[in-house]
Amino acid sequence: MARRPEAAADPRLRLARPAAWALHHRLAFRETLGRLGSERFSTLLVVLTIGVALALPGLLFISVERLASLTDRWDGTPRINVFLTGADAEAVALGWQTKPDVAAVTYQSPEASLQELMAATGLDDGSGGILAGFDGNPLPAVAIVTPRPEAASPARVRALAAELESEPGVDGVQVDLEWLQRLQAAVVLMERLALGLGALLALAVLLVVGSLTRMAVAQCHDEIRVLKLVGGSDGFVLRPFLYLGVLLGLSGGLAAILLLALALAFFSVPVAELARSYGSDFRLGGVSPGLGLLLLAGGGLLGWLGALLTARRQLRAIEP
Amino acid sequence: MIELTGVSKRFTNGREALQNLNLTLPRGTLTFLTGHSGAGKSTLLKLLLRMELASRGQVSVGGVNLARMSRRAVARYRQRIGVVFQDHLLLPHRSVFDNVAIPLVIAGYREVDRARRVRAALSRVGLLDKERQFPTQLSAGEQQRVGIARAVVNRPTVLLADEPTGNLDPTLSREIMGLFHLFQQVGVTVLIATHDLELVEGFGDRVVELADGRVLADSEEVDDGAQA
Repeated sequence: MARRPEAAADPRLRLARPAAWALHHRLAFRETLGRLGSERFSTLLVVLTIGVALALPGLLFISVERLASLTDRWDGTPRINVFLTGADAEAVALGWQTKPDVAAVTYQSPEASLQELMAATGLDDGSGGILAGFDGNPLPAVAIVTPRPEAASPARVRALAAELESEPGVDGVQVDLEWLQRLQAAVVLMERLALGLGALLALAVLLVVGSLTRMAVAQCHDEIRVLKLVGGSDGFVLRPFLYLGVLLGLSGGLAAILLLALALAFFSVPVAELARSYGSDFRLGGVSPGLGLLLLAGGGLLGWLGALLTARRQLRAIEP
Repeated sequence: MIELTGVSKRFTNGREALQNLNLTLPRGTLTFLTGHSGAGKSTLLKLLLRMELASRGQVSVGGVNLARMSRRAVARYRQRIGVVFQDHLLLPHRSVFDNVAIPLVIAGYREVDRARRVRAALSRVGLLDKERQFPTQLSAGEQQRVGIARAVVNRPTVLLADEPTGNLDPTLSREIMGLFHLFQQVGVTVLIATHDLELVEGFGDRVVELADGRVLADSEEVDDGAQA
């Protein structure tokens, strides 16, 4: 009768399953870091490629977000600016408050308009500046007419504007509805573009990571054979390649944040100057924490998925 | 216990490596598998390691039919099998220590226990002073001994060896065989494929000779017959 195999593996010395699982992860992580470190240049190239692929939709996303914030500041109610001539302009304008489609009328005198212009443009240098060349105040009186909410549809606003334009003492009418509508349409289009570009470049990240993983698996073919021969499970041999994908993706996300920060710093001054010339305080700003997290998480997830899709099938095909 | 019942193995090229093989290896025994090149020794070891599946018949180890194992179960099964390969199969970019530690890492041993066991295994094969070296820095015989240390480090229940002394001098070959016997004495089932008949005869263990995929001679059956 055979004796009890006291030489057999002692289960008491083994770690509990979660601890063994954590040990395998720690070793796989360390091994992957070593592999990436030993091929620094090619790793850097791949990380930068992923970074650019993630930064492009990120830049578009930031632009859309900032433009959308411009339209968000608008309360949704169209306004009609009516330019008036004549000494009784204020009385004429305030008389429109009785019109059924009008909710409010705000009168702004030529003097108030001039002061607002000088404050906004900085033309008031004490000597009169460029305005000294004008004979008196060149600005007209303005009545800002706000339609009632139920009359705020584009058609009724246009009808009200036409009615006001035909009033005596009216020099011209400007409706601020259309440019906002166009801007909103442009924002929607840019959102779609960002989504489409994002999806395409996410696919590119998957392919880049997948291609690198495929090469790594091919390089480790003999090692994988040996590991499987001595009892390495599919999960055990797969783990280092998943870490490879995740680390490349996370590094790519980090590179994307840095590239975006550089791009935003590069564009922020000219954009702010352009906006100021239109009387806007629009700023590009920086990479928000939310977007930063999204880029990191997205990069890591795409890297993991790219490695998983490539390595799992390839590894199953390698048999001792 | 290892049990092969009516096992045949035909490869896709039509070659029949094993033909209707019946063999039982009780637990805690040491058996030499001999025969000329192409006799079926390596194929038999591959079946036991679940690297190949039998075309016909059944291979069972410890009462478990190897053909019915899931992929995960095969991995767990291989953790209980120690195997010494003819071509060592060491990982060239890992140190001797790390090569020997692989089965313990897979099995989930603590770092301190891994170090202790690896050093004990290396000490047994006389390579404790080479633990930091890499396989390419070792001679063929030393590489073979590293492979043996890796096979026994996890204290397997079954130990399979394919020409384990092929690259060793006679003195070291006997020492290694002595090590296999130590394992056999504590309940490990050992199966050694070799063509070194001189070495085999010196130990008096069971010898199964294969030829063309069949059992040509089995010393245990001869003994049984003599007793009868």
